[in-house]
Amino acid sequence: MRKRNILTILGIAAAFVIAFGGWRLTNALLDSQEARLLSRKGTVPIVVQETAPSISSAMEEPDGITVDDGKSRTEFNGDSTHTDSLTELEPLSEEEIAAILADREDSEEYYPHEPLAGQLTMEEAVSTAQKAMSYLTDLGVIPSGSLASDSTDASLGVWTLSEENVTTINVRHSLWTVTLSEEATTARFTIHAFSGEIWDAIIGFPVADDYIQNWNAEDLLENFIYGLDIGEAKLINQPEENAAYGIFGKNLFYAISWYEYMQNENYGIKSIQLGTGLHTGGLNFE
Amino acid sequence: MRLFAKIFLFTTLVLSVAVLLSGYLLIAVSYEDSLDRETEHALSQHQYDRFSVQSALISGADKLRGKEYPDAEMFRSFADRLGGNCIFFSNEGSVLYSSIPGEVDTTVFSRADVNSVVHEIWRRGETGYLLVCSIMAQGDISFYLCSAVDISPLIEQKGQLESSFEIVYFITIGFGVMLMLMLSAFLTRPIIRLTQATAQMAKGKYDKRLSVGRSDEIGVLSESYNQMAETIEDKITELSENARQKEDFAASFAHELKTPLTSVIGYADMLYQKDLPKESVKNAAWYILNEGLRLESLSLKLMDLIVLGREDFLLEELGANEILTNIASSLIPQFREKGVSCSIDVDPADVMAEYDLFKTMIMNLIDNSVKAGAKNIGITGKMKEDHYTITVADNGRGIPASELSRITEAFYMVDKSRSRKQHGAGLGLSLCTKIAGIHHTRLQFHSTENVGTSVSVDLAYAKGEQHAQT
Repeated sequence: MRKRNILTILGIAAAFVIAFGGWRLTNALLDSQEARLLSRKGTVPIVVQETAPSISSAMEEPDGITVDDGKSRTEFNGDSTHTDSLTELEPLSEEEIAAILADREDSEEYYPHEPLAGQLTMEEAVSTAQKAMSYLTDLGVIPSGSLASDSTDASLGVWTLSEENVTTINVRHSLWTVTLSEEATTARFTIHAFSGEIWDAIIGFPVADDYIQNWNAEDLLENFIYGLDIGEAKLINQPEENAAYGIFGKNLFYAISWYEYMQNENYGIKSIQLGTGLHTGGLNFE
Repeated sequence: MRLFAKIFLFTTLVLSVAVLLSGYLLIAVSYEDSLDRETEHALSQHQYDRFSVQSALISGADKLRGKEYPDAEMFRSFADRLGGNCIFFSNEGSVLYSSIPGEVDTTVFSRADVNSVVHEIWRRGETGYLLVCSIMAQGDISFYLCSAVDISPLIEQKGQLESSFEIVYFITIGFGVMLMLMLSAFLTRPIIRLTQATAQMAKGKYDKRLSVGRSDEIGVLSESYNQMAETIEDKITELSENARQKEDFAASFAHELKTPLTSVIGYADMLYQKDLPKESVKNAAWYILNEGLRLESLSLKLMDLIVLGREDFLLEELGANEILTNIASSLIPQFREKGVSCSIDVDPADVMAEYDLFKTMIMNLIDNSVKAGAKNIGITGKMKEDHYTITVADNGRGIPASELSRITEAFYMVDKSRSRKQHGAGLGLSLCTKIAGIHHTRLQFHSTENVGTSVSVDLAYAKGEQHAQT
């Protein structure tokens, strides 16, 4: 009986030792894990991917961008004229463009990265955006005062990683987003990092009532779309909506539209949008 | 060790291991995941920071021309653009600008080179920063940019999680152990009762029973225990009764043997010792003969009882009417001698019986009626729905109610002196009871003192008899 009582007391004591000892042990393990995690150091290599030269870098003037006016391919940097065919430099196919646009539209992820071999550098991307602004100013679309930007922001990234390896970036899928802004004007350009083409542009600038606004959307579209052989596109003008669309291939369209927001009789904001998009049936082109 | 202590220990062990292991995994995995996510986010944010600073460097290229590093004002504007905490180091390792107040860690950037971004955690007191550093190079200008993400909330959150887990752990252990103790008390209570009952049984108290009240394994065990106790008690009672009966039997047998032998020895001694007149010799010889007959009857009945112990007799189809009439006819001289009238009212039917035993039983019952001083004896055989009932009824002295339960015991005699005079040995009804048992039935006695007695026995019909009857 005595032995049984001693064993009972020892059993209860052992239970308390297990309960408290286990707790202390767990705390010690957690502390050890925290120390290990907090002393962890890492190094991430900056990816520089060897690939075919980009269209832009293959040209003599890397900062040059091409404009297709529907008749001939010209550069608006004015330094030289390139007649190289884009097809010779393996331009993006319609399917590739559609895939990139679909990724941008659907993906919730965004992977910023340093420019890879074959892609525009930030300086080239900023330069492209600035020249596009200059071109629009020359055309008289944007008031000349909007040209001088005092702030520049740029980022490069992709919306999906290569399927074979999630850490691999497809060099032909990256897009630069360059934002030029000054006090009242903001222009955001989406530039394909591999080809140097401007795919999107949203420009907002102040307008006064004396500013000429009699734009023809179809003319503007023809003038503004870069790298597009507009002659093969079907143009649709929708003046009542201040918009025009150029349908290209099966799935793509290029569009221009604008709207005005007048704050008072003399002053307002005009926003003009240029874009490449997927023709998903949401637009009435007939 | 007591059972409750074992349960306490085991429950604590199991609960502790389960809760601590799951808690550890939960906290450790979530903390590591959070840090991984934070690192991933910081790396991504650092890339934005690089873009932002580089954009600013491009914008301000004119202002920077000819300078080794941007001035403090420019670094401040860079930091404003980045929004979060950041540190700018010169190529030599000095801090060019820091948005983090106080001293900063100046070692982290040293691992960074032009091809890589490095990251590590920098603890300063209760706060912690996840530093991501890389070289920024634009034109002729290069310096180190370190983005600092404050992870103090993460560390604090982990501490809070541990505190919450501590509370949950001890509450779980406390409640779990209490619950298990209550549960074990509930489960073991019937076992304790069973143990107590078994101990009582071991002391010879067989009347202890358990209240069942449940249908689980414990209930079944209790039920089985009760059945076992019932059986044991019955067996013990039966054995006690048998032992008592055997004692009574031995005592009665010795007594019944001694009584006639005493007479026989006494009269024989008298005849041997003395010269007696012829009348006395005749008288003594009569006593010796009388007691000898009684001893013979006693030995025959005992032999029958021993033989009947076999109980492997073959029952056959007999006509109840014929056999009862036959028995009554064979007893007519005895009835005449005793002045007894006998009536027979028997339904014709075939019953299953062993002829000799059945005849012995009926003759014993009639003999008992005659010995009870009956003047009218009625023998009836009645067909019932599922059996045939034979009754021997008389108007003799009857049996006192208090004696009824013992009249079938061997050597038991209601009126011993009168029975002995009638050469009775108290074995007749015991014999009849055995015979009834061989016929898979039993005797039923109905008696009223000074009015009479009826003894009934039910017999099974011969095959097909019941259908014929119905």
